[in-house]
This record gives sequence, structure tokens and C-alpha cells, in this order.
Amino acid sequence: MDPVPSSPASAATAVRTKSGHYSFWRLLREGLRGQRGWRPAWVKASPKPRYRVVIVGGGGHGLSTAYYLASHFGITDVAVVERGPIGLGNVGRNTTIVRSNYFQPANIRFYEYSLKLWEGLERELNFNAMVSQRGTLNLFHTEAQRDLFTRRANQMRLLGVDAEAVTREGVKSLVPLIDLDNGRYPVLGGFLQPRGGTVRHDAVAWGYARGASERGVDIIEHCEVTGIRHDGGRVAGVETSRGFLGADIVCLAVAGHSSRLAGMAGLRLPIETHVLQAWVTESLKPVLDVVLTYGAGHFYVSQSDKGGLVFGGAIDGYNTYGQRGTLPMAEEVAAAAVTLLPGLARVKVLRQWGGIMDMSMDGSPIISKTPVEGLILNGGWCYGGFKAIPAGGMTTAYLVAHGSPHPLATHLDLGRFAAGRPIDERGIGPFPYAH
Amino acid sequence: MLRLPCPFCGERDETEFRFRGDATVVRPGAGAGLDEFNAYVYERANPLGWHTEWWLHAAGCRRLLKVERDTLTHEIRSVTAAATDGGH
Amino acid sequence: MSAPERVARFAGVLTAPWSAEVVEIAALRGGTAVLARFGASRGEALPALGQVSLIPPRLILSVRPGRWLVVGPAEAAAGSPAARAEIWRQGAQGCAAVIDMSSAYAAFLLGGPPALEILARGCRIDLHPREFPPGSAAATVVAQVPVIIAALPFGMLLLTPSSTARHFQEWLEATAAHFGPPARLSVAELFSGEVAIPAR
Repeated sequence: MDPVPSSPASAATAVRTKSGHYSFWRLLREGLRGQRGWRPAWVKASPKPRYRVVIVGGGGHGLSTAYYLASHFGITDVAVVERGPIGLGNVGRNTTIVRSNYFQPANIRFYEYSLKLWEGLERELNFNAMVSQRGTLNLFHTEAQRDLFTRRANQMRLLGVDAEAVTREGVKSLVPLIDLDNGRYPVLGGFLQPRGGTVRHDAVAWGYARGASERGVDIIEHCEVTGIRHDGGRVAGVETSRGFLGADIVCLAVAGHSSRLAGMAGLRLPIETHVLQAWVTESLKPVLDVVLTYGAGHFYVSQSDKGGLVFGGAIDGYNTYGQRGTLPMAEEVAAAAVTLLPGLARVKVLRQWGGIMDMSMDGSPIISKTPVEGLILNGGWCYGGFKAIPAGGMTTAYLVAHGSPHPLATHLDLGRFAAGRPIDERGIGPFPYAH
Repeated sequence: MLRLPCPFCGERDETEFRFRGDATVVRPGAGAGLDEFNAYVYERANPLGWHTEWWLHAAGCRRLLKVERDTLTHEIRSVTAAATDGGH
Repeated sequence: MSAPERVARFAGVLTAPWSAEVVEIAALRGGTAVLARFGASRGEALPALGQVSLIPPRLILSVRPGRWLVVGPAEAAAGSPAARAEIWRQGAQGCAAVIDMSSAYAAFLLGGPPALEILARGCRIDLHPREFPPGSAAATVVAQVPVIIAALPFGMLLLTPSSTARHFQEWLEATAAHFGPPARLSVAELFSGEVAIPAR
């Protein structure tokens, strides 16, 4: 098998940015000049009547696609249209985890590519996204689960990706708060990806927006797409609340709403929309310096730099576009939290929120052309979209620029369902609630 | 918390039910082609607004119910038994 | 000490894990009328959905459309549950599936003034006599597991699948402990009709 390619970060052309280079010296200089030299990080553009590429959705994938189109593929006649302000959808609602500990080789390679892009992202964007490779630790609680994780770790190591087995004692030393011997699901050990971690999600949207804007991409906020104009099986542009925007290529990056947008072009997708909730506690002193996932239920937690414990669980389990969620999942996640980390029982939850997910019918994403020529879909991210932002953007930009799928994303085509080759990431058959 | 008015048991919490997906897709005949089966197995309208869906009252009467629910407001417009003859 | 005296002295709650026999009668298409006639001829009228009827020493309840559970004490003298199932099977004349479910369920009886408060700690339906008077039956979730509840004159009958019985009993006892030491009565005493547990 081919090894995962390394980051092409150095291929990015140096561009004189309008907001200026961010550095320690800049900070010092602005401090001495009364902070008068700062400029907006991205330009609030007004729509032009025609673009070569219109990207619908100013979230992580839309902005990164725009950035890579401009920086790596030389396509700058691009607009990103966003219904509200950028970065307020799922890119600002996830639990900020990045990792590449997947099972299927094609997925490992795709997500490892993403992780490598994360590793060079701040240098490339000249933007502090607080990439923190603190490690992701998945716990196992049965012998069978140990075997499964071992197989997954071996699969990763064969492709040159880091994965380590951790003993019970090792788990305890990594996470002193943990109760290894909880009655129902004692912890037998863990599976660590040391290079996994967290990234400050808002900064990802802002950093890509700045990079794209300064290379000439128009970022058009408060511009809702109300229709997709297409004739003779070919896309012509998008109708928006700010008028018609003609385009050679329209790219949808609106996970959560992919079905609605594709519906405007007459398509039905193998996707259901579900809500995923997340929570953050009051700030604590440092108590947890890895990303921890429970193996006997759906619960994952990390500690933010502000000290809050950020955690989440599974989707609520029924179609919904409501970005809020209901209480049964809160109860289930809280139960998992105090089973694993009993010391959290008295910690107060500060906020709860929900984001709506494209749950694809096999639990893997879709980066693909569609039956409408010129209409490209980046969606179906289930609840794994955040970690994939760099690779998702790069491979979508590649598809837009070359008209053929990026070598690392050929398996993510829309046609795989009808062709009978859905991606069985969890080894349980195609199942719409995986991630 | 969703509360579903079960025609057999009365109004109950969502925790008693299992969501069973879109109730509008219809299995094509055995002679149908790949496109029809692909549409049946995978493709969904996934509407924002009224959605007709199956819920199984797993911890109650164990009946499969057809529910019309708004996917944004979670308002429930109708709940009927899937089996029109009541099964007995 | 007689049963009424023991109840009068009893400050807390009454739980009795009960070795019950359970026979399920499931009407097949069009079988409801046949079953109703047969039940009436035996003096064991089948209750409507959501109700329980007490025919000492047994009771019949219905929480699923077209399905009834006949619950009674497991007594060798009264014949095996399989034999009782056979009586209904014969009477149904092919219009019902009749199955001995005794191994599938565990039964508990819970009475005394705090019974409703105990159940309210794990059950989301309203069991107040105003909403759920004696004679009512429902299938729901209590303490995260499926439970069938039937309101009887002397308390609540609780049926849970055997696989969740241990958890449910632990939960019941732990929750009841907040209300004082439980008094345990025999099922025969309960069904004798002599025990009238004071309403709250």
C-alpha cells in the first residue's frame, strides 16, 4: 500500500496579506502604536453577477475548499456564500477533536492526510488555531474490544500512522481521575494516538477565511441560497437572497442541510439530518490532558484551554433540523461521564448546544460530482466533519480544479451506494448512524 | 424530551420508543431495477418540516406507529397504528 | 400477628419478590371475539386494553392490543402453567397463540403508602390514583428497564423481563430503603383480601 503523502504546505505561495503578517513583532509594534494598525482579517464582499466557482456554505469545509482553490490550484474567481455570518454552523459547534485512528485503509489515509495538514496549518495560514496534539485515548472494556482496537492499531501502523496500546496502569497514569474498576464496565486498557488532539474550531474558520479572502476569494455573508438554477442537466448558478450568482461550478458544503440544497437541483441524497449535542462544564484547573473516549457507551471528553471540560455523545436518533437536542441523550452522556470519571459528578455544566449532521447511509462522507453537471457535493460528514476540514477542503478543491476525484477521496463518491460498495468503516455493514 | 401520543398507551416519553426512519419509502417490486432499489434503500427526502416516519413503541404496546412530525419544531400532527386492522 | 396488624404497624414499604406464573394469550386475526366468549364462559372475562382484572388467586391484564397476560401464584397443586396455557389454547380454537411466559418475567408486588413515591423516582408516567386508579395497567420504563405496572387494590404488581429483574430488584430495594424498612407479606395474604393497605 502507498504511504500517506506528506503535507503539501510548502506549495502554498507566499502572498502579501491585506491584514498584514501576524507575528510577535507585529504584536509588539501594534502595542506601541496603540493597536491602530489592525485590519479586518477578511473582506466582507458584495456579490458579483458571475463567478467561476460558487461555494455554498461558509463553514469549515466551504472556507477550506475556497482557500485551497486559491492557494494551491490558482483559482481565485470564487465566492463563498453563507446564510449567516461565517463559522456559526457546525465548525463552531463541534468538540474540536482531530485524529486519524480509522479502520478502513482508505479512510486512514484520508484522515491521516488531514492530520498532516493540521500539523502544518498554523504556519501555512499564519493564524493561531491552537493545534494541540495532546493524544486521543480510546478505552476498551472487553477482550473482544481489545482485539478490535489491536487490529485497528495494526492497520494504522502498517500505513505509517502512530498508534500505541496502553495498559490499565498506563491509562491510570494518563488520566488519574479515571475509575478503572467501575462495576459494570471496568477499563481493561486503551489505544492511544499520540498525534491526535484538539484545535480551536473558530480559529479554523477565521484562518481559512483570511487566507482565502487575501487571495481574492469573495466571502459573502448574509446571503442565503434559495434555488439552484440548472438546465439541460448542467448547473448555471445559484439564486440567493442577494440576487442571482452565475457559476460554472457550484459546490455544496452545507452539511446538515445537504439534502435541502441538493433538493433544489432535483436530487435525493443518501442522507438523513440528525442533531448531535455537546456540553461544556465550568472551568476547572487542569485535570485532563488527553482526549478521552469511553468504549462502553458514547462519550468523549477533553479539557479546553479555558479549563472547561468539553464533551459529547451520540446523536439523539431521529431526523431533526433543530439545533438543540433533547434530554434523554444528556442523561445518557452524563451517566457515562460519571461512570468513567466519578469526580465529575459535582461539576456544573455551563452550556449545552446542538449541531445538525448529515448522517450518510454508510457513515462515511461524500466528496463527489453529482448527476447535475457542475454541481459538486461535499457532505455526509456524520459527526466526523471537523477533523476532516483540511483534507475535505483540499480534495474538494482538487475535484473542482481537475474535474476528477483526488486520489485519496476516490472512495467517497456518491455512486458507491448504487454500485454496492458502501464503506464499512465500523465493520458492521452500511449503517446510517456511524461516523 | 419528545412526548408521543400513542393511540394505545397515551402520551409517553421518547425514551420508550425506537425511531425507525422515513415511512414514505416503498419497497419496489422484485423485478425493479437498480435505480429503484437504490432509491428505496438509500435515498431519502430528508425534509425540513413535516416528516412521516415510523416509531416503534418498544417499551409500551410494541406497536409500530406512523407519526407525522415537524423536524424543526418537533410538533406532532398525527400518530396512527401502522397495522390498520389492529393486528387481531 | 395477622396480616392487617402487620400492615398497620408497617411504617415503610412492602415489597415481595414473587414467584409467579405468567401465560400470554395473543389473539390472531379475528380471534378477539372468540377469546372474549371463552373467557366469559370460564368466569375470567378478558379486560380491555390498559386494564387489569383480579380473579383471585389470579389476575389478567392487557397492555398490548389483542394480548393478555394471565398472572398467578406458581402453585403445583393448581396444575402447571403449561396445563393452564393448554386450557386457553383449546378454548381459543386456533384463534390465539398461548405461551407459558413464566420464565420470561419476574414479578414484584409493591404496596404501602410510599409505593407511588418509590415508583415516581424511576417511572415517567403518572401513577396517581386520579390518573391510574386500581384496575389500570400499563407497559412503560422504570429505572431504565421495561416494566409492566398493574394497579391492584392492595398495591402495584410489577413485571419486568427476567434479564433485567436483578437490576430492577436492586433499584426497588435501594429506592424503598429511603422510606424505612420494608415489611414483607406473603402473596397469599395479599390476595386474601384481608389486607387493605391504607391509602396515602
